Amino acid sequence: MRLSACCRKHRAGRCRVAASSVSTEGQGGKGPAGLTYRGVGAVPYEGQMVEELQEKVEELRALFGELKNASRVDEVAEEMMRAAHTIKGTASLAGFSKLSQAAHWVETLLELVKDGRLELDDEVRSLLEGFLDSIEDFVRSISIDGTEGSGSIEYLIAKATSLIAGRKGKGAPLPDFFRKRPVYRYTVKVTFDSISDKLPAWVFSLARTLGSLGRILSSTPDIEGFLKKPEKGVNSFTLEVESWLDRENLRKRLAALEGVREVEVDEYGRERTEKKTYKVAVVFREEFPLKAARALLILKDLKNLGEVLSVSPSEEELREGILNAASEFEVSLLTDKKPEEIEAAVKRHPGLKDVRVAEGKVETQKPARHRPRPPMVSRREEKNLDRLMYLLEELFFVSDWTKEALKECKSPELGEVSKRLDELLSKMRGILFDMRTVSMRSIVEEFEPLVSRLAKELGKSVEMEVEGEDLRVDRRIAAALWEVLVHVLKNSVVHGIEKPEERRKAGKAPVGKITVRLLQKGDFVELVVTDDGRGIDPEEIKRRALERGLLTRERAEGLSDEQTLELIFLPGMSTQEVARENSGRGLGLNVVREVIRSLHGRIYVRSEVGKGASFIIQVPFELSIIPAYIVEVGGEEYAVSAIGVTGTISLNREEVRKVGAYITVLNGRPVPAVLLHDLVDFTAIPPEKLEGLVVETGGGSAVLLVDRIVERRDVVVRPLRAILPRVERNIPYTGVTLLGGRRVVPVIDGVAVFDLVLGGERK
Amino acid sequence: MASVLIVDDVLFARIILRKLLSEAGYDVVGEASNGREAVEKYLSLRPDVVIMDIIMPDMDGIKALKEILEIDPKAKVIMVTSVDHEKRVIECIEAGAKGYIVKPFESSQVINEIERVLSEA
Repeated sequence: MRLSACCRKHRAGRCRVAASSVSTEGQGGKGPAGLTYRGVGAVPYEGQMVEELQEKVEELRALFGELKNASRVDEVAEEMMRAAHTIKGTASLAGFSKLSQAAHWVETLLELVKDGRLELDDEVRSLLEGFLDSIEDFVRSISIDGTEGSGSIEYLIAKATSLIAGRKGKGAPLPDFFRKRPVYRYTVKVTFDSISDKLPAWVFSLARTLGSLGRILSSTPDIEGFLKKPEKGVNSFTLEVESWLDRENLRKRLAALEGVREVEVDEYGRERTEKKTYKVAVVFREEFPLKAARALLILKDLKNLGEVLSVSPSEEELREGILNAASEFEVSLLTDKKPEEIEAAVKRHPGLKDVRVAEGKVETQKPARHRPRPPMVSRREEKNLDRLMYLLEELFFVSDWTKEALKECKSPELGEVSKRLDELLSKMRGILFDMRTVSMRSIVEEFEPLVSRLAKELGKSVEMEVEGEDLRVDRRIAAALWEVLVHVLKNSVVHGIEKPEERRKAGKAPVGKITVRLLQKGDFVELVVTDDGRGIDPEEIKRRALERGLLTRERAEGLSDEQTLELIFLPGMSTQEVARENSGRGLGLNVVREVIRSLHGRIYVRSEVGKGASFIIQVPFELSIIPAYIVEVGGEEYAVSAIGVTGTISLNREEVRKVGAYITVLNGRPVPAVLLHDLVDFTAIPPEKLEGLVVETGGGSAVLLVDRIVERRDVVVRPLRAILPRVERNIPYTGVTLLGGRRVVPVIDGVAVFDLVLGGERK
Repeated sequence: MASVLIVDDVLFARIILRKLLSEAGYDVVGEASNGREAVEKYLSLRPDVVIMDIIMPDMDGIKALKEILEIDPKAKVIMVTSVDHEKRVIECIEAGAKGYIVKPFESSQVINEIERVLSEA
């Protein structure tokens, strides 16, 4: 997104920076053409860039033809290098890495030719042509759908590298970094699904893939012959293949092909010895950090030794960073390697306490439990949905604009247009919402087995229950909430719920209970995760915060219990040491808060010592359209996200007093207040009559004071990337929106304002 | 003698690593302070091993790792991380990082990891 910095100052309407991509033609001269807002993400590739690329490609092509003219080689090569360089630069700016690489290689090869280190013969020529073809393909694909497409240049690069390495040019010696890339030889056996009409197509794609990853030396039955005249009853091929991929990767690539049922890849000529299944148990030292990451590296090594039949905890769980309390993981491996070889491979890794390799399988073969994930949608579909959503949001801006125009010229016809536009928009939004959303309840329910398993590993017993309505939320919000739930539920099981004997002593049922409640609260979703464990002791939290220097003693004394509980979300509180001790809470909770923030949501905690704790999470239903209050300060508009705002008040300036920080009186009780003026515009003078948003922060109510509250409405939030001047970064801006279709207005996270202010006091 | 490229946005971290690696007999062929520079230097230097911080401005380590691997799928990249960033390390491993080391650096840890990665086929 490009948002000219001047617009923050000038406000659109007064700003005259020319629009570059949003056409304002056909607006009948209504409104200034000062719309400097430009698309983000979904439709980012401007025709201009694509045109420039196409132009350069044509230029390269034409020059390539001239390269034959021996007298002008140097000159032509230089011109080609320049064109390639431009393509490379444009491509890397726009994030097209394959295109940029291909252009880079054209440049490299030509440079070597020009310097006389590489002779321009047919082989080099065909290599250059190969790269040119790829560049053309990529650019064509970009012009069609904005992506480079699936074409690969791996093979060309490998060829180029080995060619340069193997060739001695006439002039200076080759730079030694062009070391020859190793190429491996394999025997590959591919078996396709039961014979079908599609078999020839499948075989063709196998041959093409192997061609792009290396080359086929021989095949039985002969693939070429088969493709010319498919033979009945054949569905399996044994090939001799050369490739630079390692065994596991080659296997993966082939296994992913359509119609492939089974793939075996063996080093060429290796004697096939009998395979056995081994149980490999790896135990880490208790204090060794990042065990799951190490486990994944070990697992990769094991995969290169044979076929991994099962892993416990599952690979999915390892990826989530879960490693059981015993710091141990087990793999069952089918391999022809000797147990000593396996052990040696594992022992090369640090942090190990013990490695055991024994014949036999991992007994506790649990059913593979997949990570609860929003239903899979193809990338293409997802992308198209994003684009549709983006267009819908743009239409919202247009609708706003229409309304604004309507204020100026009271045309009844335009009024009808505007009304009709809104109706259609709201219908479209409904349908798109349905397409983009998933059931929250089904996602939460998938955590049940995970929770009881984790509890069991810790010698605890926990029952999890899901209550409340089934709500649908944006798939991306669901995905982020998934991550949040992992932390919060883990936290409840590990730190909240006590062991059965402890629970009995406290007069509780031995089985702990965790409840996840789903509620619709106005414009947002509320998730409440409650456990009946030992609760969080504010005194303990204070002690830890003091120890870590996150709090001064005076400040600590003034904190209410609710405010103290807020401290568990501070970064310094969520270190591993805290998590390891039983009394402390704070397992990555700061990360959780960051995630929620990024969704324009909020999280806070309530707890009663000995009785349990609740984490309350609120997020909007959709990612980019959120409810907000439009407010005014010093004549400028701001949007404050409505989540966490429980009401509005009006008051006189004298009702706000300054005692260190501002305070005001709400329902007869003093509460902290913040003048938005102090954050966004020091020069603005608050008027006699002020209005305020009552914000429910984790630590109690607070009031955000503004000149005027204009309205409450949905706004489309666009991400903000380092556009505002540095000073303004101290304000919790979460993005920008367009009001009236063209006024750029910052969106502010109301709850975060108070964290910022309170946080400032903490130091 | 194996050649190493050090990538970290913090000068101090680069100095420590350079000293540690030079003393252990490695040839530190280059340094980069962000991901973009790392990719460029990788192309021109072709080091045996890259040691790269994950969190950096102007293209982070994860993105740089992916680009390097796209250029050279056999590249040996070791990520530098701190104990509370397991998720990111895992993301790097999934993307093809060959190993990781944890800050603060301990020379035996760093050297073992480099040797382990170098000994891989």
